[in-house]
Amino acid sequence: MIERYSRPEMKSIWSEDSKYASWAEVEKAHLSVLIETGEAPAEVLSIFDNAYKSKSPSDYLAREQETGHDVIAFVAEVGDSMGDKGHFLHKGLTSSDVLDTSLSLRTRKSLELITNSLQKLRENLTKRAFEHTNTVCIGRTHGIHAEPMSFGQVLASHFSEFQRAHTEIINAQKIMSFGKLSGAVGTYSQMTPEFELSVLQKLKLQPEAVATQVIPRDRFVTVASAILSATNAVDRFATNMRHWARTELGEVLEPFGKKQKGSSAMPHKKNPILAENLCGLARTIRGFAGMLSENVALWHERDISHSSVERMALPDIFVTADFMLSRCANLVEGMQIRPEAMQANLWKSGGLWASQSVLTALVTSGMNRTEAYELVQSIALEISGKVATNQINKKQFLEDLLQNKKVKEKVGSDKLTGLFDTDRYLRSLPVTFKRVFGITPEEYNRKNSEAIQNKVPALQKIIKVTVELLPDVLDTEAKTIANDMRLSGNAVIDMRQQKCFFIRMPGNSNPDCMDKYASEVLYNPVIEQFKVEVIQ
Amino acid sequence: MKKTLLPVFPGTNCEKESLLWIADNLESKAEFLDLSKHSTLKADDIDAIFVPGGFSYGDYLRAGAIAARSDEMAFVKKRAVEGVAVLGICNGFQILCETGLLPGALVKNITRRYHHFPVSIRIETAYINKSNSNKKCVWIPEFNENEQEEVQKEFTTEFSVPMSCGMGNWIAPVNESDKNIAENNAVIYYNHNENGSYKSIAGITNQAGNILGMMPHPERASDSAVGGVDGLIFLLGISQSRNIKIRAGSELEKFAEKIKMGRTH
Repeated sequence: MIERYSRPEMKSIWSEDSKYASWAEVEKAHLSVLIETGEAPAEVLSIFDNAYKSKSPSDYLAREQETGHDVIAFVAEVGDSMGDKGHFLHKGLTSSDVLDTSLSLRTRKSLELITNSLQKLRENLTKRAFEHTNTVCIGRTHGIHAEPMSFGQVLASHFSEFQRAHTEIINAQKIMSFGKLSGAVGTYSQMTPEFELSVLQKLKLQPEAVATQVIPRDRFVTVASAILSATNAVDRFATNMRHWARTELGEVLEPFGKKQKGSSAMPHKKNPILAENLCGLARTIRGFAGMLSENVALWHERDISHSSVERMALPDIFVTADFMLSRCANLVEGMQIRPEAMQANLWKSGGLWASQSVLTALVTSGMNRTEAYELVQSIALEISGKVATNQINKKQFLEDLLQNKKVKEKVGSDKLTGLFDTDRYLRSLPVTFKRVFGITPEEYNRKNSEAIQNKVPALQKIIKVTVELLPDVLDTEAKTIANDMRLSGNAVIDMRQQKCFFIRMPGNSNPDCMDKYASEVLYNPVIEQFKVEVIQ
Repeated sequence: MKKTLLPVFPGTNCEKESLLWIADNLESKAEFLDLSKHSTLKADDIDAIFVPGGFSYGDYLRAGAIAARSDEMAFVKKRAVEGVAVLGICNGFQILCETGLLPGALVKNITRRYHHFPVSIRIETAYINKSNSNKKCVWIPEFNENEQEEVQKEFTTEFSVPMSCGMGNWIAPVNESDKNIAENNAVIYYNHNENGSYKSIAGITNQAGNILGMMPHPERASDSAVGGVDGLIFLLGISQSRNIKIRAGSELEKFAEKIKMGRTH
């Protein structure tokens, strides 16, 4: 964890203190269930609390010098302070039961912080995209002018990528909501699956269906890949940012402080250093993700080769990704978008970007496609050779086309002139924005006074509550429908119906309240079961 | 005169006959529950609360689920806990289950059909027979062991009350001990279990015996002019247990007279 690339909240999750705290959380849940099942007296919890409070990481580290094993050191230190109740601590557990279950807790919490940083970034991108729906810039493929487009759409494309990353992160949270207390090789030799379930329920985790000594490491690869989708999105945005900021373009500039300096030697410099930093950090994330994917193939029921890798890669991947997303959010918020530079650049190629429209107009007028293509190309290439040396007029392409008798005759000068109107390239914008954000620019402006995380559907939190009848309650409707499916010739074995509630909340709200509401109202425990998921 | 209160929700459709059932037969002031008037009433001011049948709030979510969360039901819940007699018929039964005043839940009839016909039901002997002192329900009259044998026999073997429900299949609580308690508190059984209820249970009471929920409609079998008076047995029960006078000249008075003479018809 590099100090300058970390933020305190995420850093604290991966501190030594938090590590021990998360172990304590699991040990405490284990003790609570021992009490519930009558195996330990009720006072064990407070005895544990006091013992744990009296210790600090340095005590565990000192003990580890003797034991050479971190969990044993922790259990021994706390257990000794619990006096004659010490033997209840960690009873029947293997170290990985505590280590991996607590690691799931910390990973899930970290992913939640990542979603918060992503939320801010997505909000900022949304604001800037809607600000610039009518800002026309040149779209470039291969770095070469292609066709005009709205700069808002450029940002919408970046937003959409972050939106996908957001979904991936949410899924990763689900993938990491698993714990294990199944013992040395996952066979429950010291306790039962029911006991494990009770402990894990207290931690809001599900039991790993079949664990080895550890939770399978492919889960962490899924997490790394979700983080990658976010940081790669940052990488693409930052790369574009660096291009936009180049002297020849100057279309978008990084925020530059009054006392900021660009270069120790050249006072004129305003460098896109934030974006460059982000591109660099994105490379480190790809490295950490690679490291974590090396961890899947452990020997038999587990070896410990993954541990050293995780001690480095997990804190670093989270702390760095969190820093990147937050820095990128600030960059998006503060970047200076310069429509006038975009206009200037757009016309630098003399309107060549209209070539396809001219081609289409010629073909529509009845000209053979190959003939038309070659005609337009010959006029265009004449111009494109001179673009870099500024030897052409703003609408050179139009002028040259009008000079060409054949083109003028076939298409007509009014129509030709019309093809150079850039507004034509903004027509699909409402549809695209509706697809990406769930709201058109017009609707967005109409709801001017509403907070962005409320009015933009893509930024809202969506919670899905699924309610279904318990497996042994007869689902009469489903049975009737299933019969009809069979009668229609489908090999249907069974069918059950579910009821889904899709709840939209402001993007920054905490979905836990819906857990409570669903458990109190949306389902009836006598006949139904339910599941609450965040799906956006 | 104390009051009998009937909560009415959007969709309730048995409220009129239910109100008349009480008002015509008992010396109790039957009124639709209106919290602006009634919220200050104490347990002592109330003879009973009757949650009538029909529908409530479209029965969205689950039958009775939304009504169960209404202010009216919060009031009913408070008074019920204090010991006020509560009766829930049909949707009223569903609401009581959703409120948590009675255990279990009601789901679609096993036949997948709406049931609208008289059903043959019986009352668990222990409730009607005084000799069993730990099973009591305020809505069921009690007789000494050797008295009114014909009456006891009829009501503990077979009598007929109309049913009108789509979701009358009573499911017991999942938890074993809750299930046992609920089973133990079953007051009324179907003889043919048309709905598919758990152990043919048609009506149950709570541990204290002051709340009764049932699917069939006794208020629709309480006038000799419209097919039978067997439903009056429950009013006889409440008049007995809560000392509510029977209205002179009422169907219930005639019914009680016959019962006293040991006859049912």
